[in-house]
Amino acid sequence: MTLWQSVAIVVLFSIGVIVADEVMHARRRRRREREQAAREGH
Amino acid sequence: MSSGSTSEQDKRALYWLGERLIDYRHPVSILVVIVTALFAYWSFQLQLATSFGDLLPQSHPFVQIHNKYASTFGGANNIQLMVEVKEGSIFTVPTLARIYKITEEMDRVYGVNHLQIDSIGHRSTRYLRVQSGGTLRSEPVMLGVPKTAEDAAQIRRIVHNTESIYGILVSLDDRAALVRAGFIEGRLDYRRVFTEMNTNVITPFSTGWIGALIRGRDPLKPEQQAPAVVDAVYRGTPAAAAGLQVNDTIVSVNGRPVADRPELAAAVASYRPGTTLTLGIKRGGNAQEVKLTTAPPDLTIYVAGEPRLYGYVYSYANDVFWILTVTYCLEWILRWMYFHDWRGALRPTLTGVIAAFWGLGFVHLIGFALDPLILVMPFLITARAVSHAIQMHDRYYEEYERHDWNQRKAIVAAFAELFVPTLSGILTDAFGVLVIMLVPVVMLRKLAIVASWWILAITIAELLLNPIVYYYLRAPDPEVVLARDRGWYRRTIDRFTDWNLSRLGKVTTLVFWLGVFGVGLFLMRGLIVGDPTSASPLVWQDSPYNVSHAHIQDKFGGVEPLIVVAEGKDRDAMKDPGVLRTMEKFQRYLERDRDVGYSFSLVDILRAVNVVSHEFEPKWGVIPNTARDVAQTFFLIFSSAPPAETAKYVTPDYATAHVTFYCRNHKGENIARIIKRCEEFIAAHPMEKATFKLAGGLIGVLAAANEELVRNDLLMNLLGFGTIYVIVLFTYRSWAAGFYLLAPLIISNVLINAMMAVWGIGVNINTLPLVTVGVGFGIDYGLYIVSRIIEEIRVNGDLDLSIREALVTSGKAVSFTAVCMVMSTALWCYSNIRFDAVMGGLLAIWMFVSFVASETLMPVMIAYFRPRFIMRHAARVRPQPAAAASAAAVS
Repeated sequence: MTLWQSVAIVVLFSIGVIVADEVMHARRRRRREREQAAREGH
Repeated sequence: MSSGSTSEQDKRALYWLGERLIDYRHPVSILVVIVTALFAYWSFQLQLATSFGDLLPQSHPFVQIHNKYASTFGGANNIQLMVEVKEGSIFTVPTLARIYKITEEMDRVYGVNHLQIDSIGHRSTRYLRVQSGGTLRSEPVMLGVPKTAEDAAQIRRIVHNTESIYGILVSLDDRAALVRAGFIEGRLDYRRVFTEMNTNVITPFSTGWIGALIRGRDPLKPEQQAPAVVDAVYRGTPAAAAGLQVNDTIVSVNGRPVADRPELAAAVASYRPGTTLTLGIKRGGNAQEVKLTTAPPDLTIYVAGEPRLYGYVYSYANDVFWILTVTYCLEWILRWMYFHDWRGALRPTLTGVIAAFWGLGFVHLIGFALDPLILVMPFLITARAVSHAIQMHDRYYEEYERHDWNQRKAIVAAFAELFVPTLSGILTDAFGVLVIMLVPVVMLRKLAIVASWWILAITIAELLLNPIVYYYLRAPDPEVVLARDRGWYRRTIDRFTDWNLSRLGKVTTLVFWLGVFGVGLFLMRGLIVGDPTSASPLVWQDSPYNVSHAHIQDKFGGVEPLIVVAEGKDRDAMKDPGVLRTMEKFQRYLERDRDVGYSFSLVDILRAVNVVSHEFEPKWGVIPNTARDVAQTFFLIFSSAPPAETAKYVTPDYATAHVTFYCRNHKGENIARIIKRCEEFIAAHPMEKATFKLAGGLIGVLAAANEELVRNDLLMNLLGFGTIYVIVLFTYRSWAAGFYLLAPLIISNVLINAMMAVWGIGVNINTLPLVTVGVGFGIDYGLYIVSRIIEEIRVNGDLDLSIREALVTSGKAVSFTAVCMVMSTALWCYSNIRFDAVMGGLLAIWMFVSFVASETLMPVMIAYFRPRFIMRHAARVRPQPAAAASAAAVS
């Protein structure tokens, strides 16, 4: 493995984690909002 | 949990500084980015290189003698290549032809000192030939490639009758020949030597051998390409069976073009023995194809010596990239799992990367290159940077919750509260590592400066840039922050802390660490200076290098030179029979040592010549009685040899010569014993016309390095701990604080030294910097915990409660930090470089022990002895009812 291959892997991995984390949190926020809206609807 | 108001008043200046950093975030961040970009640019120009001179203690008298005579009598960088036939003897035409060609190719390897090659195939290896009329002439053993069986038989006769060759360059069973080459130390390029040895010297004559002698480059026109022309085809070989003829030019192997001998050999070696290859040849201008079935090599080539060893180390150096990648990814996953947020994974990375750019850029700026053997060091320092960042990030979350989700207040509070322990931790590491400068070895001094600077650079990212980065990043969701304080990890920390602070826990902890300390002290007596085994500790025992080294040692007794110079007080001192007799006596005296294989000096040549000039009568194998007779005998052999070739035995004015002892290994204890014996002999045998000077060769310079390490090792440890003590003294303004904080470090230090002794890892020039850097590592664990205890006791006035609170908050972050650091260094265990693997493993254990001792022993000691530097803060507060109730519950 060369330096640049290593750099490319770690950069892509970091971006992957950030995107996955944001998607996960966005889903959780939306679910919470839906649940809250449902509760308020009742 | 601590109350901010009391602390805020005490740390007004730090809170003010945190606020201003956020106010002036744009200019500060632009400035840091510009400087970091510059350092990043310089870091990418960094080279991986080892300067041999930098590894030696230049002020040591042994090294000065080594430097003075290395270019003539031989240095510490020699390659030993052994050609061993699988069946029969080496005295066959194809084998002798290959030995001749191997020697020729060895002479062309970059950096080889052409006057320091010993091989029966080299012009400087001579024998005395009696000519018609009774005159004597010294002639090379092989004048060219032997062509007939009679030529081979003649060479065997010469070898068997020459004392300075038989058993030294040819094994006594006739199955192996040795080619020795010295290198010019200023021109050592380990990577290039390694590659050239593989492609030009080894492969064409072993795995790439087809049974035909292929023409190499013309020595007078080395830059010209030399096509693979067949010079000779030997009977019973694949080349003969394929019908290859002299003057055929081989142009391709299985359709793959080959331009010269190395390319042909590489192509052939890439197939298994027994494979049928199609060789494209040109015969008399016509292109043809022949089928050649490869055979297993009929001989094996073993190569040892420092340049070869470092070549292997360099070839494994790329391990660093996969270790870096795996470590990075694993750490990201761990931090993400701990903080439940990508910001927690990213922020420590920023600190690590910025510090790494500043550190590596600085390395390039001061003209230093990275040695593959200290690659663990950058990892270790980056792990330190990441460790501080994790503490800060954890505190930021804690303050964010405490300040009712006010981001700015949380950032400033985290910055101000952790400023002192963070800065103390960084300064302790940075100044602690500077003690390495005590050892007068250039490489270690450069390393000390670089490591110190690199550690100091952590302050830029951790203290200057940190509040700004947090301000730029969106604040985390409150649920993320709260999640950090729930789950199995927090529960485990809570339970363990409660047990540790219980009566039983305290006693168990104290007894356990006392036992560990005692056992460590007992075992560390076995710690040795220098290398503990005859195999190189830099690569694994079963590595190709160590296998080769062991084979050569077995066959030839000893190959690691110790050069003792007999320095004459005047010209012709080496013609004095008294001096020569003392040299001979010295040889016989030291040869009795079990780790000295054999020796060689001018006396051996003199005695051999005397025998030949007296009709091979063995009784004449003595030193002549008068200086005149000695001079005449020397004349017989040296008059027919070029002066450059005699210079490796004696200086042209006959003032100075040497005795070279070939030792079986370079174990630290053996080197020390051999040097001591040399000194005893020299003291007991003063010479009128000359003086023995110690010592050159690999053994000589290793002895010098070991002596310097012994002289400075204890002092460095004491100064390392002293530096930590002084910084802790100023941090807490207490004489006692240092003892509490140093206790875990001293225990881990003792334990690591004990493990080094048990695992057979010696203190040498490679292990020393890592071990010294490790002295201070782990102090920040204690600093974060003690600072937090003080912070808590200022609020609740209760020691037990404060210790518990500190352990479940800062202590929890410390435990996570330790897990990350241990993991990032432990991954080095998978390196192909044994040294890096062992040091990575040891440092991982070191940090783990420091962490466990800081989390268990130190709090228990504080709880038992209730030190004033902590209790004086309790005296300033009136216990609050709630706190008092909690304290009662805990105790």
